Amino acid sequence: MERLIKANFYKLIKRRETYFLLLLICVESAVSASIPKTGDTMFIDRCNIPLALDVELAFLAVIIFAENYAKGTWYGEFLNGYARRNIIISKLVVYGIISLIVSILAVGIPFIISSWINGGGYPSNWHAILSVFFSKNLFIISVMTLTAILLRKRIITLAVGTGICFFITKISEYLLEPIIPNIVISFTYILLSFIFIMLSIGNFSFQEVQ
Amino acid sequence: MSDNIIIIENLIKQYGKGSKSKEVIKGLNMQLVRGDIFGLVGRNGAGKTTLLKCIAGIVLPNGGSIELFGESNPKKLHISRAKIGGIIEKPPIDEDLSAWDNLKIYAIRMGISDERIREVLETVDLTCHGNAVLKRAPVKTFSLGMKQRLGIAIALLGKPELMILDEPLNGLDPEGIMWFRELVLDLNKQGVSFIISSHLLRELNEVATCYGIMKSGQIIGNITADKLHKSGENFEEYYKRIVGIG
Repeated sequence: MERLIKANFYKLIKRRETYFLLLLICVESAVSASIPKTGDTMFIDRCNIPLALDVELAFLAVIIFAENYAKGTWYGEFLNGYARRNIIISKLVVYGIISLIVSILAVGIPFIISSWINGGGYPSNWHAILSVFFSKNLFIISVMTLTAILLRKRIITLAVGTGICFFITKISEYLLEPIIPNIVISFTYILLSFIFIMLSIGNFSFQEVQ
Repeated sequence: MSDNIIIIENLIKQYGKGSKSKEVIKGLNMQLVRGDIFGLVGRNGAGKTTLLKCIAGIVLPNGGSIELFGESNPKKLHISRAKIGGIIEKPPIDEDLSAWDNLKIYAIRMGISDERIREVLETVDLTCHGNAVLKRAPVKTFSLGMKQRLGIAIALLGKPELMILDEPLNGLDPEGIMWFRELVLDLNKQGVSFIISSHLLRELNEVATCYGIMKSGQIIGNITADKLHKSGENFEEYYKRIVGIG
């Protein structure tokens, strides 16, 4: 498993798209936190998450999962003697770590900039923001993984995965978060993520990959 | 003691479900003895590639059994597959990365040193293109023949005991074909077994030690090169007779 994870990291490190995505998230976060919006005077309003984060996580899912179908590279991994379950789990681990880095950048940069613009300080409910944010990200990762494994095609994965995540997270943001406690929302996201990850592993274990 | 490295019994593979399903492999039986070079031939759609995919674990059979290197438990077959190298349909290459990076990814997965990467690059004659091409140029800029050689390099990386090659001569020029023939014979001397699926009967005739002819999802003809030689028939004649042409 360790070798699989290392190999997946090596592949990501060698891809230019990975650096482009990281750069994009930094620029995007900085811009979104720096430009004042009408009515956004509170610290917390400035410290928001870039909208394109979903697209970027979907793009990572394409590189890590969906591309293997198009390029016909899955069987190379099977012939290295690894069980399908381990192959998919190793990719999930790498996807999770890279997504965490992207998420930290997406939260951290606006946080620092907002704090600087507002002359220091932090949102009083920062722990709630973080718990919802990271559970939401876990949910997005699980949806993107399942979408990539089921749909296989790069463009379709990108479009459908982003669409589903955007739709669900916006419903949560505007309809549920104002009335339901954050802890319940976080728990629901984590539960759904677990289900989708299990479905991804189960599906991949019996899938015709080429 | 039998030294079969592959034993396939009553293998069934169908694609699709219900009324749209198509049975591609129909109760196929096959054995491969260690050290053999098995030439697999048959018309397009006979089921050759599907058979190779079943062996490599790309698709999962609907029935029958596959035993690889003495292991027949489907849940443990993946361990035996570490002894197999191969190219099925197309080389398992990420064309956005360089040749070196592609090999490095496989080397990391298998715990293999950079020295072995250099060794296989030498074996497949890719070193003549220079370090800059191998380490920096993305594989998508390579010719078909170079991609095929890289695919063979990846297959060789883990020092496999069995090589599965589906149309390995695709994209190779005449020199490449001669090089491939020598490589197969050389590796075979070192103990590597082969399953080679090809439409080029004469090329196969140069290397194969036994043949399997596939038609409609079954192996309908199976003969060793020795027996064929003794019968006075050449492989092309044998193929025509078994398949029922002319």
